[in-house]
Amino acid sequence: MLSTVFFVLAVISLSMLTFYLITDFIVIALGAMDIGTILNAVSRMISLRRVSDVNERQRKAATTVKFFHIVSYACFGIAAIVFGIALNGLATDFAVMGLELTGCGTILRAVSRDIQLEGV
Amino acid sequence: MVELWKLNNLFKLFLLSFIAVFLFLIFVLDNIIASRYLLLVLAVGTVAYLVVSFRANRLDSGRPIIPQVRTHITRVHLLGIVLILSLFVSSYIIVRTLTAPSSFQLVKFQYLILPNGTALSISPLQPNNECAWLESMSITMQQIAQRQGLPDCDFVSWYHRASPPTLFLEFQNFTEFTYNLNSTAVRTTGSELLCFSLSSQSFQCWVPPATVSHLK
Repeated sequence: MLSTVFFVLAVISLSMLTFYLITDFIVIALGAMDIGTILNAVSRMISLRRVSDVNERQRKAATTVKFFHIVSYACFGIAAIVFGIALNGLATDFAVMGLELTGCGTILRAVSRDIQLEGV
Repeated sequence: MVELWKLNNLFKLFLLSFIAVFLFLIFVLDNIIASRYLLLVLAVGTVAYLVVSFRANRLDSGRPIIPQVRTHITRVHLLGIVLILSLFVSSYIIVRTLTAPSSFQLVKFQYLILPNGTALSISPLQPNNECAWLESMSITMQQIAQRQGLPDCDFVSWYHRASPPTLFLEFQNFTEFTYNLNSTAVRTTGSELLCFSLSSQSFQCWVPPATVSHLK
């Protein structure tokens, strides 16, 4: 539930972006989205631990890992683009965005790995 | 019915694609008008997300689930929460009060008068003393500044080699002018400006109606 709050905060920041066209708002939105992502991923990890049936847990773990991988690839993909912009224009804002996106992708990979190991 | 964790991930993908499309519209297509219409897409997506997550939440709470361990908030937990919150509040108060600028005086952009009465004459740095805080500007302002050939203040050499006494005047449109300061015997008065000491003899000032919140 708390993750929803952070995603809504990200939306507010992105709507400010469309009004003022200041890239700092993307940085703020990505920060809020990162917190939301971490909360969401960790709560999913905990809820999977509560599934007592092994087969059911493995099935759910596989779906979760697949989903998390898709999101992490999206994070890394956009991180590559913003890093490109950052290097091209020496724009530090974009470098921060790239780091935030890489962080989000990495955390999702780490949580996925944990879920995979626990699902075995 | 979609589960909440899955919905959150889908919404995250939606927000990431929003950012990607926005950057594409601005940097590749140079279409600022179209980027404004993205707000509608964002609003529709958010409303859909909130409605679905609310319904998913209601279904989850109605379903019998595995008995959960009831978490008790102990004194340590409470102390931790209070400590974290007080860190945020005290940092804000410290930054707000202890970093308050001392006042200097600027007369017709010719002299800077220090609080102790010392007068310094101002002369523009040659050949060009103007730069732009590009990252603080909106995208349209950035494009105007770049068309004018203004260098980014982050990377201009004088900003990092302010060994001689220097004055930086920042304006509300995020452009900044740099001046050399020299001692003078002139005694005069003028209106006060907000200035910060950058080093022992360098200052950064905000010219009205610019505000201190624009400090980089």
